[in-house]
Amino acid sequence: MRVLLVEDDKKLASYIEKGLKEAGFAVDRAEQGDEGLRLVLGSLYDVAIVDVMLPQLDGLTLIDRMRARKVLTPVLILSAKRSVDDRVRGLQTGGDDYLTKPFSFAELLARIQALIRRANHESEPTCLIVGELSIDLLRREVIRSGTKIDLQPREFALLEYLMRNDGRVVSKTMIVEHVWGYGFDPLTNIVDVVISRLRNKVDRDFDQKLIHTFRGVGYALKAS
Amino acid sequence: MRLKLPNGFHTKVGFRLTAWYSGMFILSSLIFSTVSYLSVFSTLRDNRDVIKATLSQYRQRVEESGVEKLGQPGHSRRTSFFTRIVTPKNETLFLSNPQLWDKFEFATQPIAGLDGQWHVYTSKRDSALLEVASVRLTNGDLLQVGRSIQARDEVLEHFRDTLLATVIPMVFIGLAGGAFLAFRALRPVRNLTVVTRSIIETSRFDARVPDNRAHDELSDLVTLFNLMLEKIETLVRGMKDALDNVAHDLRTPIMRLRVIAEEALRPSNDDTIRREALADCLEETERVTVMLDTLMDISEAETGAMKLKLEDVELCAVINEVMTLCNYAAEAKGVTVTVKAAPGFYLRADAFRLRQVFSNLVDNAIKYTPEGGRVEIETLKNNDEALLIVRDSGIGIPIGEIKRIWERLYRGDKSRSQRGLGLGLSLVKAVVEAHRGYVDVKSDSQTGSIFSLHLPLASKA
Repeated sequence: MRVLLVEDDKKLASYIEKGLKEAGFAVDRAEQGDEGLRLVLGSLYDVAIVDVMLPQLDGLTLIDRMRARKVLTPVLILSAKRSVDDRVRGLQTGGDDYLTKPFSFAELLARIQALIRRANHESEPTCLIVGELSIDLLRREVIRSGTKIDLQPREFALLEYLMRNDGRVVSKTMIVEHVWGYGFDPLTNIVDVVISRLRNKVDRDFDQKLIHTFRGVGYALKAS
Repeated sequence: MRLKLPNGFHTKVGFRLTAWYSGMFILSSLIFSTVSYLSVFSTLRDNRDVIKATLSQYRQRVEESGVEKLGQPGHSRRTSFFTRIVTPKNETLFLSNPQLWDKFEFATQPIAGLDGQWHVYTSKRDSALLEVASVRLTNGDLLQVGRSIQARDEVLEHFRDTLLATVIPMVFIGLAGGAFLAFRALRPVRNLTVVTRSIIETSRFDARVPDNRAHDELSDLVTLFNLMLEKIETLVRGMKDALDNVAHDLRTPIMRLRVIAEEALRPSNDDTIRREALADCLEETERVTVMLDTLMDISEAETGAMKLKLEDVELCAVINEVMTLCNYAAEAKGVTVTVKAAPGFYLRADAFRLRQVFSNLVDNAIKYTPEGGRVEIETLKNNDEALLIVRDSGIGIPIGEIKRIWERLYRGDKSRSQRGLGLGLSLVKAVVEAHRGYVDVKSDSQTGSIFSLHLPLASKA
């Protein structure tokens, strides 16, 4: 998997590069917009991470030009601007996802992997299994160790989202985006509440805990 | 920021106004002078008609009653008239005012061929001229009536001189008047230029253009310009305050981050403590991010910089959406939430911001209501506004704190134990006011608090 990272902040870029390499990606880095455009037009990448504020050529123009040249590489936009308008503009220009600074590396990684899965048209599973927990997406059934667990729709959506991410940490923002959609206030501690309800139903009666909290980062569902 | 200012452009309009005014003034003065000169001239030309009329009148009198009837020298009050009767032998029988006309030395002047003709006598002694009409009487004598035409020429000449003498001051007055008027008329424009220039140079928006309250176009411009300055000043001040507040409010959590990091770096610590500290740091950054976002929202709403995507929003629908979130919190806390929302109230509002406001308010109510308590949400219609009331059976707000609960980062004594940033109610107030509504709160330590939001209804509702 090859990733192009166009980011002018050296410290942040080298940190992301290091993390991505550890996760098994090959990373090319560009600090300026025009250089990034040259790279993305020159070779094939699985995903491009593009900062909006770049010297020489800004990120949105870069994406616009690469889309004009029919380069379909999925793009994750990084931006310090968090308003809905900015997000919409970024996605309309041809970006595939939008991540606001400051973000956690776990979230960046999860989003990149989601983009790659989407680009590769991975077939939609109808059933997800983690350890002894399985959920049937068609019948909307959750079974752990042979016992059926009743979940409310939001709880089901949250569990499905955690399981689809297959052990990767997802942030609270990502959970709110996927389970409720954009435009809900982060001030409410809603995610904590739903996670704790989910824990009660899924984990309480079992020794092996599946739902893990990563303080300051988010949540993950995994067997070990 | 430095701008290059154009210099001297203002003199052009002033100059043009002066030139136009002076030109028009001088031209109309010249036309007036010429017309009056011509009219005086033609009046004086009528001299001959007067002489002729007098001649025929005298002739009749002399023919009927003889020379005596003309009376003694100076018989007439019209002493300016010259009257003379002369025999064919050039002997003067009668002469009015001899001392006045003697200088023409009639004895030496021939009289042949004067009958029915105009004649001009010239004085030998001075440059006096006498225009005379003559008629032959039946007895053969010649009756002459005339008038000095020196007087006429003098009048005209004098008039001409006067006119010429007034032309120079006239031009001067015209120019001066024009310049003065241009100066006065352009004074508001000049003031505007001076104030604008000073604002550009000093970046101080508290300057105002003096208003002469003349209620004319320029005065309107000045009033509008001042209003615009006021608006800009408010916005700039709001932005500056917001920036100061945000900078100030961020210092505390950053300080906390620093302390945690320093603590973690102590050499005696083992790995577990360091991991804990790092996790604390991550949580703290998350808090700072949320806080920064909320502070920016509050500042934008307060200064009017918040972009509201206004559409017709049904109040009831928004409340139900918010409740899908808040029900979890209520359930977790063991608080019963009841909603009495009548459908059909439409607000002209930003749906996202309304959700933000309601969820903060309801979350707040749940937070301060003990287990087993109630939160009631009700909507009412009051004239052209919608009322959203959130009533809780919570701990209430002490009277001393009730005014301060809307302040950012203010946390009452009882609320310190609760999670939160102390920004929720500030955001509620700022966003509601950005929607041209207002907030109100009543509280009682026995029965709990009642928060009400007043929001203007959309016109179609």
